[in-house]
Amino acid sequence: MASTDDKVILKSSEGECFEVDMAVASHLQIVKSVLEDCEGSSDKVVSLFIVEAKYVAMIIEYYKNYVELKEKHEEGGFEEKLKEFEKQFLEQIDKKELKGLVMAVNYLNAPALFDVVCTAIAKHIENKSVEYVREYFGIVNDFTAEEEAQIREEHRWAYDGVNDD
Amino acid sequence: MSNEEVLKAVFPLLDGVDLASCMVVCKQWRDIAKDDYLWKCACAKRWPSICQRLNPLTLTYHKLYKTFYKRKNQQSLLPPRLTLDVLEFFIDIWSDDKLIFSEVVPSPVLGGIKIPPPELVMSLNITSKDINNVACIISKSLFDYIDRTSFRALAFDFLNFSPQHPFIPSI
Repeated sequence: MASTDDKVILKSSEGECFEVDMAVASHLQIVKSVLEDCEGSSDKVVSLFIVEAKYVAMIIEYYKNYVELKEKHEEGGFEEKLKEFEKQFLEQIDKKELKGLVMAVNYLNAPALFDVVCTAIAKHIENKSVEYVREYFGIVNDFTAEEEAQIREEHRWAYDGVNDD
Repeated sequence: MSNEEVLKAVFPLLDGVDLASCMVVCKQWRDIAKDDYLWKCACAKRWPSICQRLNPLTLTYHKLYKTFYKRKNQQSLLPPRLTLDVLEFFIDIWSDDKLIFSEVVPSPVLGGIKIPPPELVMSLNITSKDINNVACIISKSLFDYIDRTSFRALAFDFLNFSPQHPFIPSI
């Protein structure tokens, strides 16, 4: 069994603490570098100042499964199993959470999960109308009416067959 | 969402059409999406062999994508002002959505390629060595079977396209 030396405590923006195996936490580059900086110190608490507890939990869930699957399928088949899990993982995250999650993952610098979340976000842009994208990402249109008309005209070639939702 | 880093990671995953809509969303998105690197990614997805080209293009990938994409409009025919020996063929062949062949082929070799039945999706982009331009002859066309008639249809596709063709100096 892993000793307490192999554990680290991640603290969310609300101050909630999560005890995590080092094998899992080391996938978060920011945690890794914080720990390297204070090597030798007995204090194994890392504050993730801007990350809410629910995102910390999601990220831990992803990497826990990642590490487990990797151990279980050392001989091969890891990638397929991971894909299966990623699909399930994304299904339980709603649109709003996806945006929060991508910011959290980007801040924590966790490459594997970042790719997964970016692909999911790209799916919210693919074949969607400009209005849908603005609404989904909460973006205020800062073009003047003329500017928008002009840029739409330039890209008219792309607009055939786009869904409204 | 305003984080530039995230957008820079998401945009390379998009198709050119989606990238074009992103440019209309707001100024920040437009400024990020107009980076020609992203258009190169979009071109590479649709016409993989284009990026194998060693000498740089004289036009941007953005322009290239747009030109190839909107080639559907039919115009009256002009005879192609080309001879086979000045051409290079950029050939991407898909089978069941998988890229099975992606190469730059000089014209004399092309005759040796046997296209296997039954189902193929094919893109053919041609560049002329002497004027450093690229033309999209066939964009992901599906061939159900190959016989003399469809080879004729192929030639017709070429003729159909030639009026919009960047080789012709008036365009």
